[in-house]
Amino acid sequence: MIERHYPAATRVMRAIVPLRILPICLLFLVPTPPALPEVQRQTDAQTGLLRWTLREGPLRFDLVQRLPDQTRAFFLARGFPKAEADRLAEACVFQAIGRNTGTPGQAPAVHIDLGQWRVRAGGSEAPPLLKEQWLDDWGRSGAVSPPARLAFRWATFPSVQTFEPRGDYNWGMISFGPPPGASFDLEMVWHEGAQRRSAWIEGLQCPPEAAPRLEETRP
Amino acid sequence: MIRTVVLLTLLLAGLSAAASQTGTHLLTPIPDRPAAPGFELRDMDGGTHRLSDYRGRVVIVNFWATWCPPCRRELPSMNRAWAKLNDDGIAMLAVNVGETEDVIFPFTADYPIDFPVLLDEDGSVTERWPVRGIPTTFVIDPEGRIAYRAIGGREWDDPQLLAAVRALHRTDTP
Repeated sequence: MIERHYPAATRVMRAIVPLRILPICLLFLVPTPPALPEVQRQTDAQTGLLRWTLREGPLRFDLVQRLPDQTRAFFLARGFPKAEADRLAEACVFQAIGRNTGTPGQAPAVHIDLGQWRVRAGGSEAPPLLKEQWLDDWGRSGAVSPPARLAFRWATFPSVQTFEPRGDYNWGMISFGPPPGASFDLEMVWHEGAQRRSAWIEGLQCPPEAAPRLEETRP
Repeated sequence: MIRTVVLLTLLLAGLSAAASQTGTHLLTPIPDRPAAPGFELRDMDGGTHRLSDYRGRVVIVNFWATWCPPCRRELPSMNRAWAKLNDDGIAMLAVNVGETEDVIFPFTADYPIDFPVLLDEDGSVTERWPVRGIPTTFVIDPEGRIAYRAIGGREWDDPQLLAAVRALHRTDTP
């Protein structure tokens, strides 16, 4: 009979951990590289509209297409003149939901500044159309009344926001600029504490003029 | 071996789910507790409310609008929370941003609100508070300082959240 001699540390490990689950335990000790941002694209079964979801660390960010008619109707009902409601509705408006899903005491705050994001379409890059730009424009032209501007201000996603890991989130519209149906890439930038993070989402599609027929969206 | 892997996977998934839940009903403490901006606003019944009227009490101040989905989602839990906190002397105010009584009144048929709804029709009060998106809610301590903030909706009658508000009441009330 051959007797095997193990180093003392190994003997201790063998005493503590049954051999058959040792490989699983070792898996938790192996350093893993940071995961790439996860982006999912889904089609709403009822409307056929598309949703992109980015999950990276504590950040979850959803972008959901809004049909131009939805956006037009919302702002017409809040006092927008038709020309300005049309201009806004056709500026590639998405419903955005940003959330810090991190655990309090462990995850950092997530800071977002939409002015740092980049929209790449038709060979050029620019930030999204920020609410401040629209409001400045309407403030100068007087084309939109103050109560209607107030509704726009609060219905749009904050240009700058810090989400704490205590359930903080915001909903709101973001206008990216390209025309209805256009395809574009988006660089999302955020800060987790002091660390700058970014991710490109490629092939986003501005909402089309009309709701897609569901059979067009099925594979 | 397979059974062990499955058990470990389930255990990790459970821990992960539990961890993701723990943050959903919490409030962010505000360092140094800055003074809450004062206001004087009319309510739905024509009464006037000044924040300074509530000095000496804990006040929950919620900024909202009827068209805002997360605002609508959290309102029922705010109403339930108010029913539990009102007897403790803790006040709750819902500051509507930019809408009129004509819009809010029919809304309250579907979403009953038993605590005062204040009208900030021109948004000038909301402008002076550190609000960047709605709903945003602040818990004001008895000395009129911002003690906690919540960005986005919460389940306001969650025991963990109610305990935080009540602890503030007990700590700051002589």
